[in-house]
Amino acid sequence: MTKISNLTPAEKEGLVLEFVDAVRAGFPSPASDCAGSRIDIVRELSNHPDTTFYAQVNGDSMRDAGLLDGDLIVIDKSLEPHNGDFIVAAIDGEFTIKEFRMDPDRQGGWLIPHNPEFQPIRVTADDNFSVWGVVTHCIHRTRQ
Amino acid sequence: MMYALADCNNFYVSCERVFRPDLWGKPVLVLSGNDGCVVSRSNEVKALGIKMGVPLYQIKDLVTQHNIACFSSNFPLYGDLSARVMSILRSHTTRFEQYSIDEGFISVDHLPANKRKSTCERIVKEIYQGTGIPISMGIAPTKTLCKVASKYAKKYKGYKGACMIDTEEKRRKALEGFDIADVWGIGRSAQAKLAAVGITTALQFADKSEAFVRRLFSKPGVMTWKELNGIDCIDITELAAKQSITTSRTFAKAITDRAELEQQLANFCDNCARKMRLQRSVCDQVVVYAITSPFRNDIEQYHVVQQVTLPVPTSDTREILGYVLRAFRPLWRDNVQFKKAGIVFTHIVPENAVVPDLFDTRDRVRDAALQRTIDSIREKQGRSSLILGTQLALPSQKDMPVFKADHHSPLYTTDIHQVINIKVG
Repeated sequence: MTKISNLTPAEKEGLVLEFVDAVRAGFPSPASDCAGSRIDIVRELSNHPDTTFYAQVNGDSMRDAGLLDGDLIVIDKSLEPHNGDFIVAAIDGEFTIKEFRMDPDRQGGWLIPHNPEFQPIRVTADDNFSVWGVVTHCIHRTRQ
Repeated sequence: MMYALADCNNFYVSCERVFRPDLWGKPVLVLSGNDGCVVSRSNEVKALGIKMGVPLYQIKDLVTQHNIACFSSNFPLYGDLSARVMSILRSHTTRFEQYSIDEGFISVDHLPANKRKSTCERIVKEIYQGTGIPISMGIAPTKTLCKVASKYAKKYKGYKGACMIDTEEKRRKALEGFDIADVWGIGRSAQAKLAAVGITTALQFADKSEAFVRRLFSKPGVMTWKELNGIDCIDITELAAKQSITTSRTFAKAITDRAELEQQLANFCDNCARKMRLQRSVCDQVVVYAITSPFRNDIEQYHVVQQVTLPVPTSDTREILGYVLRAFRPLWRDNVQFKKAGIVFTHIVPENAVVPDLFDTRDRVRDAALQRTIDSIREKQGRSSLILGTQLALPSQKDMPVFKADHHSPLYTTDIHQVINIKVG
């Protein structure tokens, strides 16, 4: 079969006519100029979507702070932990969630549970300890 | 022009480790989806001498002996973490090109020369802290030199994750200590050619005359040589278009029935064509292959490898499958035990870049409408709701791969029911 290969269309893309908003009869809606976008809860929960992760709470040691067993927490990994932040920490190969208190000399700190049945955990730079992320929100389902 | 390459370290393994602190510093490997071959290794696994691509059964003993954690590929997870890494990278520049799931180039021209390395060090830190994925960066005037620099950054901690080749002295020094086999674009055959003339380092190759290189290699080899000498000539969008889409499978039980093998090929074609349509591309070259088990000396060995050129680039499953089967049927042999088969789509181009063929006999408008309808029905009703006759049924139990390494990690970031479960005791 003969093939003609040097033929190309003059214009790849044709002229495209855009639709304008339909012209309607009747009275215009008085709200049309004041339209806002609806609240987006996901956007409120994550300032940094690229570094936001979710986890499920399994246990009671943060009960008195309102992080209950089964709750869904929002974690931002990009944040630097401050004193008083709830953090996801990795200790000896396991994740946990606690309140973070750093020593003034920054050589170590405490991981503080919010439940009298649990003891605070002492951590130092030498321990197998690191901060994985900062807990920013806790989502608790109220209707079972 | 100065580029910076961000290259994720042992990417799939790193993804698995983000959510598993118990595996930090431990040997970890990731296996390919259906073949059970090693596709990603932690440094600890590399140190044990386990090579890329080896099948799991060959290293079973090492895995048990060193307690290596093995994972099946979890692409939804890798895809999501890759998108996060690339998005952070993109936020640092106006010019960004993603090259693969774990590599992306940015332009650093907007930064003053004395700020480029420190900025990249900060990006490395930011990406690691924000996503848990360790990356290395290479800064250089060409993409091939960026690759060289990133390997240095990966190897030596002193670079703080970012190595820059910005002077002639640094370029020569970096290439001198660089194995020619590790240069981007130098394949096994090129390496053999160069070894034959005594070239083993990147510098020896770069120092050869252009005439010498042209005698030995065609265009891609010459481009690599130029890039090593600091002349920017590789266009990433062009390279990305050269990539291919593959579906292949090793069968649990060898196939001797033609209809059964054709059913498999139909599924592979369907899978590849669906992926291609998702990225709004078409292709005009397809390779179909079917082989017997290379590990069986007791049976007749037979390999079918057939390249099919399509008259017009397309992504239509029916059209492509028609050509594939027409090419495959004459090569069929009875009593051959086919153990593995696959389909590879190459020459992939964006669908709007295709010049129509004047003598085309197909009604492409109608075909495209039909394909769109089929796709939308399958999207709603599931992939096996509507199939071609040749496909009979989508993979069932008996088509399961041989080394079904079911070590899938949870979909931590894409399924709310599989998020990390943190014990708060």
